[in-house]
Amino acid sequence: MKSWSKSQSVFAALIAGTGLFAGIAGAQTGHRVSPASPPPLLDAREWLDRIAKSARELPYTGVFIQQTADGVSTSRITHLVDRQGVELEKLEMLDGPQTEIIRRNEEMFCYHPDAKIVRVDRRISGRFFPSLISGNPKLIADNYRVSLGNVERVAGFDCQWVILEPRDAMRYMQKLCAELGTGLLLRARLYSDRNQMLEQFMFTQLDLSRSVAKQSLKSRFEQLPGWQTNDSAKSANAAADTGWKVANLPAGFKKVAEMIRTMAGRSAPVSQLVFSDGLSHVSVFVEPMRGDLQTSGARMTDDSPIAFAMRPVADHQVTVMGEVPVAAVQAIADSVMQKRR
Amino acid sequence: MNEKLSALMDGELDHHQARTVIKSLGCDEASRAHWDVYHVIGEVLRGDDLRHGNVHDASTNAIFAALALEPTVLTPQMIKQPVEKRTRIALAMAASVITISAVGVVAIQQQNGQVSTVQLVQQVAPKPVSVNKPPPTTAEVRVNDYLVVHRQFSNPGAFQPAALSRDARGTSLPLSAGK
Repeated sequence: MKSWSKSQSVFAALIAGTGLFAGIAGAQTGHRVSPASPPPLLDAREWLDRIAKSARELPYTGVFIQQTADGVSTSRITHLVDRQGVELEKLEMLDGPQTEIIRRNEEMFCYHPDAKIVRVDRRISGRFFPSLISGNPKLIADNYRVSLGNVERVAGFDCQWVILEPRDAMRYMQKLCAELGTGLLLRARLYSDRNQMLEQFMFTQLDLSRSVAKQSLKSRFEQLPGWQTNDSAKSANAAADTGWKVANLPAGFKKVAEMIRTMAGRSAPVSQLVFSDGLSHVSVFVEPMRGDLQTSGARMTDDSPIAFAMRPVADHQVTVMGEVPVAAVQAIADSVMQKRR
Repeated sequence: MNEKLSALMDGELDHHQARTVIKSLGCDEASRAHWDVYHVIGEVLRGDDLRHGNVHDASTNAIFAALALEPTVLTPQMIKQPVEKRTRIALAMAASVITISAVGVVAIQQQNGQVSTVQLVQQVAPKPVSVNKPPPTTAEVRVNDYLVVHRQFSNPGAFQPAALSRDARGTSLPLSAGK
């Protein structure tokens, strides 16, 4: 296991050395702890099931960090399923400009207090911790070799590592650490094809005591006057046949959404197709060529685990992006074509 | 908070984040204690004293014992800031309440379970760099918009205009026209 912060590890080593906080040091350097109460023998796929279910169904509230090449950001998440069976979630960004996201099932309301704007959209393509598994665990096992790793302590809980190794070069390795008792993801890591960590999510504080009040799922900004609602994304998000397809999808990817959407700064609507292998999402965007600049090529973004590829196709600009290797976005971009009418 | 302190020490926070952490140091007793410990580490890393045994011997030995248990190279591989950004953060920090003279870099290689090499590299004082950036290109704006849509609201803070690669921000986009 790679350590990702030199000073944190040295810090851990030092405090271990001075004997001040030996307990913290053990947790931070990721030493193995013996499972206190191993759950009944679950295989790796059953763990995937628990991970997917617990994130959707459990009440929980906690603080997690997201680490990418862009740095570390901290968010507070509160999650609950109400009596009507509606899944409610509040996500507060604790760093940078104030932002709150309220989710009701797949409908997302994003509050930006600085601009007093609420953006409304439908949840489809993002990678949302701790609800990282969106697909059927059985299908995931078709695309990844799933195995169990060590038991570790994270945020005060014992958690089981589940390792997902890609069966081909079209996706990344992921390591998920799920709380022993409930299966909730406590930690998740995404690795490049060269085994370098691209992204990490980790709870630093978590309350699983089922004491989440529905009132705490409301945005602080919900009732304030003077806010504008921008639901252009949502209203444009209605499923539609865009007239585009990906002729040769990499194995395991399935279309999960197709829509024609308006985007700020663009006069013409943009077609978006979203594909998923149950863990990773790839978006395909198609817009009419605007005469300015045709671009083609593929590479990683510098600051996020997202690769993108661009290619002109029949007077349109195609852009493909996702948390997958460059080879995958390239392969998808290469097979984007118009359907025969 | 420890992660934030660690990130601050590593220069991994942007200007705003760094300020937030630094501010919180003023009122958080526990964090300040941790920060002090980080400084002790910094002093340990900066000095030659380790090799001469001038630092408290007991704790030094314990540090090395603990490091020997750490199975990996401690240098971050993938997750790192662009040099330009790190430098800017270093300047921002120097200008604030806390003064850090130099940050040590430790590289530890392990062979046969033994710590074989400990390098203590002193970083040279950061040179001021211009924070002005060329205006984004059309292709960059386009990709950035798509990034926001693709990631939806999962991490809006990460997609300020600075989110896309510095390569793309330059005049020569590595993606070629045509194919």
